[in-house]
This record gives sequence, structure tokens and C-alpha cells, in this order.
Amino acid sequence: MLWQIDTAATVSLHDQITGCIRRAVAEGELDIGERLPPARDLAEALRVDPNTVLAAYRRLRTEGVLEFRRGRGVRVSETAVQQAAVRQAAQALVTAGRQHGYGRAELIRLIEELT
Amino acid sequence: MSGPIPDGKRVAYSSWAVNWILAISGAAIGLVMVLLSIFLSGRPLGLLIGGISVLVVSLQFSSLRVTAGQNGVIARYGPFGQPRFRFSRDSISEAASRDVTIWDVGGLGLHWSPWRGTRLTVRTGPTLQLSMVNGCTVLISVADPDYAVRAITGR
Repeated sequence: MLWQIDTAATVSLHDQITGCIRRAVAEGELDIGERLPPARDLAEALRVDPNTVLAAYRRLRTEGVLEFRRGRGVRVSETAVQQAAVRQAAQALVTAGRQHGYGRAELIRLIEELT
Repeated sequence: MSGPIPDGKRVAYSSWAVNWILAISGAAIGLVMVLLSIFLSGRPLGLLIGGISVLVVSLQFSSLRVTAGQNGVIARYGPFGQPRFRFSRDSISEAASRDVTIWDVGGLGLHWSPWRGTRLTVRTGPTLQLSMVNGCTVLISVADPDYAVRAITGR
């Protein structure tokens, strides 16, 4: 898996790392149960602080994308792929809504009507 | 993806390469040896120790986790991530992708010889080749060696 971050971007580094993982899961590059590199190794490769990588891993654990197992490292959780698919669909909806002039409130109302 | 990495951007590559045939067959042989040592008369201790050794070594050396970046390459064997090898960028003169056969690597697993250099290989096929400053060559099994080369060299 290729990890790319931009130190000049306005988005924080841990958000960029989070984005790399989400994208890899959505595109099938990371499979369910696949182990991620240790935070220390990835931090060294990306030349960032290990806490930056850990912050990204922890956020995705909170969201249910990753799971931490004692002695078995950080892995992609079973629900991650479903979440990634839903997130991608939601992103497509937001993009299409913007193109057709829908505001945030209108999109939320639309979702409420459909659910 | 090609061309030099733009200023401000950082690229890293991570990979997990595993040889399931080696892991399963090694584990099965080890397990059979352990069971035989239990059920054979006299309960040979050597067979038990040998069986456990085969089981542990085959599981430990059949998978390789690699992280590469412009600081160098870190490779960890097996589920416990040990032994760990670190090749700093300063010690690497060139990184390239190479197709290797079983004859090139002289067997799978962890090998070192003064003639062939270090081999961290769990399978044949596309492999990352590091030419070291001291003249040694290191072969490392990764899923996509071209990405690893880009992460190391920045090109």
C-alpha cells in the first residue's frame, strides 16, 4: 500500500493518514483482517511523529474501521468495508447535491425523507 | 505514478508478503512431529523439541512485513515482528525491482552468505533489491517492488 501525505497541505497530517487508510479500504487495497504497519515503522517511513500515526489509527478504531488486538497489531475490522462503501455513497450524494445546487440542510432533509 | 515526488509530499510504502504453502506445510509437519512424540513409546524428547521448533520457525519465517520510505526500509518477520531488520537510506546506494527464482535466493526464509548477501524472501517473483553502499545485495519480498522503489528513491 502506498501512503502519501503533503506537509504543505492545510489538512492535518493525521487526517491525511486517516484518508489514506479509508481510501485503501474503499478501493480494496486493504482487506478485512489485514494488518497495518506498526505505528513506529510507518512514522519513520513518513518522517512524522509516531503519535501522529497513532492518532490516525485511534480515530479509525473509534469509527470501527480498525481494531486493535493485543499482540496481533492493528487490523482492518470486518465492518470496515461496509462502512467504506456507505461513506463513498454518501460522498457521491454530497458531490451530486452540490453540483445541482443543494445546500447542506436540503441534503439532510432529503435523507430524512428517505429514511 | 511516475516522476519525482513534489516538494512537501512524502511517500511511504507498506507491504505484507506471506507464503501460505510454507506456513501450512511447516505447521503440519511440526504438529505431526509433536503428536508422534506424545504417542510414541518412550516419548522421545528430541522429536518433541524438533516438532515445536519446526512449527514455530515455519510460522515465524513464512511472512514478512515491510515498510519503506525515504529514511530506508524496515522488515519484520512473522506474527511477532521479530527478527527486525533496518536498512537506513544512507546505507542503500540503489533500489530496484527484480524477478527472482528459487535458485537466485537459495531457498525461502532468512538467508545470509558472503557471496549472495542477505535474503529476506518468503516467495519468488517480483522482489525489492537493495544494493548497499558496502557492496552487499539485499533481496526483500514485497507485494509491489516498484512502489517500494519509488518510496525509497523518491523517483
